[in-house]
Amino acid sequence: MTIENTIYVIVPNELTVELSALQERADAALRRAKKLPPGDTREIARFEALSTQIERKAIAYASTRPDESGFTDMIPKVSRALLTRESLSEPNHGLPKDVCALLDKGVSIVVVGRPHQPGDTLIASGGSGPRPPAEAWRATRPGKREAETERFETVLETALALRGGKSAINPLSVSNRVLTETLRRYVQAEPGTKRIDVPVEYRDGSIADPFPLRAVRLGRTHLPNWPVLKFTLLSIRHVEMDHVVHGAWFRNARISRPGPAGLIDADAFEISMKQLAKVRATGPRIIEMHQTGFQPAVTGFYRAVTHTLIDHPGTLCVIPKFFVGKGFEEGDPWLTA
Amino acid sequence: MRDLGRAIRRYADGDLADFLFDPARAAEDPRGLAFAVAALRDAIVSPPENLLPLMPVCDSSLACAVCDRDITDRSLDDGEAFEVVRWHLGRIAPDRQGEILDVNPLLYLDSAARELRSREPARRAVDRAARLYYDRYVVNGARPRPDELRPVQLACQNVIIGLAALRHDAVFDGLRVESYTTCDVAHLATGEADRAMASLLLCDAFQSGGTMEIRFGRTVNTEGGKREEGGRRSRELPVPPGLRRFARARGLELGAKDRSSISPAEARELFLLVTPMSEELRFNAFFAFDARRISPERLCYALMAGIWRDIELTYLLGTSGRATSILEGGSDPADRIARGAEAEACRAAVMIGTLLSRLENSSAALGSEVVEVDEDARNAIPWVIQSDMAAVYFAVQPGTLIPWGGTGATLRTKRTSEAIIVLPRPMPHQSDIELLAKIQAKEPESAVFLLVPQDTEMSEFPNVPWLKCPQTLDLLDQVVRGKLDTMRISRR
Repeated sequence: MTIENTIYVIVPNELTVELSALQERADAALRRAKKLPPGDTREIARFEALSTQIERKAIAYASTRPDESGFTDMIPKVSRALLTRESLSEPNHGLPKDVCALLDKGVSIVVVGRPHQPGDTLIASGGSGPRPPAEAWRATRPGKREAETERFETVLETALALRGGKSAINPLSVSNRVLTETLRRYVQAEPGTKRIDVPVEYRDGSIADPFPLRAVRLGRTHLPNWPVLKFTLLSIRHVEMDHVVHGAWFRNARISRPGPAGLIDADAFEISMKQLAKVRATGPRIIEMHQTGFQPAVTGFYRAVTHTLIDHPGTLCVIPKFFVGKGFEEGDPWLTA
Repeated sequence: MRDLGRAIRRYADGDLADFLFDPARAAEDPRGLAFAVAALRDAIVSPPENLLPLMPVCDSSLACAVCDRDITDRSLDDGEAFEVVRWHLGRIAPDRQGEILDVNPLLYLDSAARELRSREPARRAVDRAARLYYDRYVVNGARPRPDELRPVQLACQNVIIGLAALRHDAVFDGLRVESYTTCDVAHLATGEADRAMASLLLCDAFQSGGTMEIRFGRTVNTEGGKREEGGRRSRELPVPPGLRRFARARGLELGAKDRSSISPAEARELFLLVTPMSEELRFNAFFAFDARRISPERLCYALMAGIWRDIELTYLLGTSGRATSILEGGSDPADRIARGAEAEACRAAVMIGTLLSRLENSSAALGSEVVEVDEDARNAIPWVIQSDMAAVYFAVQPGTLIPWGGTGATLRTKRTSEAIIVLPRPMPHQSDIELLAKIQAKEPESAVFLLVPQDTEMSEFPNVPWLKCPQTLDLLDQVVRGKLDTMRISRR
């Protein structure tokens, strides 16, 4: 296996202007990417293309002026190809001292990871022998929904036992109803239990914020006499519900995009926190949430509901409505006791 | 052999009546043993004298038991039979003649009988599933959820070789295959239908994200059993006999603990069995498995789903410490150094993959006055990755056409050249040129080139022999991004 190292190229003034312009565009693309809906990778692609242009020009320059470049085994962690004095403010950048000194003097440097330098690298072994295959698992309860619930409960119990350690829950493994109802049971705090935030990791490897379990005491009966707002979780998906609901909680065009589920979850959470704050500002409300699926959105929404119930108890009640066949069935309310 | 004789008589009166070669029939009866032996003797490649024809595999090949003596020997009944092989009567590639069908003739007859018995019900069940699927999803333009029954038909050259109906099952968090049937055909290698179907099932099980367990037949309702149409009780089925035979002939026992299930551990072994890998990739892959850098299932999926090719994966695993991250979808784009290094390794891998395809499909007729008439001609080119230099050696015939050469003229290797050596470097640096010179000095008989993207400015490196692949750096990046994204979201 070859050696990976990093090349630092000191950029001359005549090239600095051109590369700085490219880097500015790349930085702007990266900033725009953060504002885009999850799954929209156009700006990330633009950022990468611009960074590649900078790296390519710098490598070509370094080939003609070898004295203006140098290799090091240290692999820094920076978000830009063109480094300037401002780059020193990036936390944990890992830049070598001599490079830091040059940057501090105002020199511009392009840094590029070079994966194929001649030599032999020994890769640290993560263990002896391959990762073991998964254990076979079998539901003890009959029926698909019960089996899903049992599987999800097993995962939640494991995550709780590890107190939010390495074991994560994956909302995509279960249906919308099982996800909502099981999470509600586990959000319930019993006397003497302590809140545990369990990690959420989707099967595509993307990670969302942890979900707070055993976090709030929920009531089941005596719904308050608050005004009711009826929502469908996602717009457009089931227009036949339009005459039943007052509005849609999420815009389908923003949420239902191909892309890392963790990002969709994060987006759904952020939107929900803002909207729940607006709803609460008008007084306590009951939200009837008509939901037909899309687990990252469901998870993001109920995480926001849980946080709201923790921080502002007695201001919100969410009643899930699950689509079954031709109608909706009501789930247990998310309401503080 | 006496056991085999008894088994033949039993099956000849039962499920295999229309298939087994009957010793009692006349020499001119195509279903008689004498006729089959004569046909075997007339095969283009003469078989050994100790092959006893059992039954046809397809129109032009026979399943034959390997005996310990000449089949005309009077003491044949006292002898022993070993494995069952497939003997082709017509023209066939030498390495495909005599492939093992099963390890034991009794097991073969038993599995063939079970397979034939289950074929028609499976075909009908898949037909039903296909009609339902059409009405529910094709007509409405909808996509089924993983837990909905999906019919699958495998065909090769307009011949159906396999049918199945499958869905993800929450009861055991794995793949349920309600129906399964395959067949061997004349134009495919032995067991190819089972290999292809197993690959498809395993890729689906991987994508569905469960435990990788595969169970067969319909779900058993634990509350007393659900009844199907016609009043029959729904039930699970054993692992299909054809699939078990395919695995058994290659040293893997399926359904060892539970006859209806391919366990996650067996699924892993089966995935490795059905995934074609070069020896070099196998070495690098097992090294990575042992070091827990990557799971076998993920690597097999990357290959079987066509995301990365054999040579590309070998290159990545052999030359880059970032292969693990690459196969999991790559680093965060904001970590530019890591992402840049991964991109560079991936671009190089894609370039050599493209070059290998080009070399394997190159026409010897280019530049000559001879007209080439071969169709689908593909010359396998042996290759080796030089791990410590990230260089690739292609073993080609002297005088081979070299594509993508510098001046636009047709380049050929010298009459003395033994190999084309390429140093794939999407963004070449002076240190790469120095390495190229070292390789050239070390390998004077080989044609050594720097392999770069189409839009690389080579005037900075005068006198450096180079090949330019047809993709520009931007295009390579698009290809790489697609591969990384597919790997990241592959296991939903």
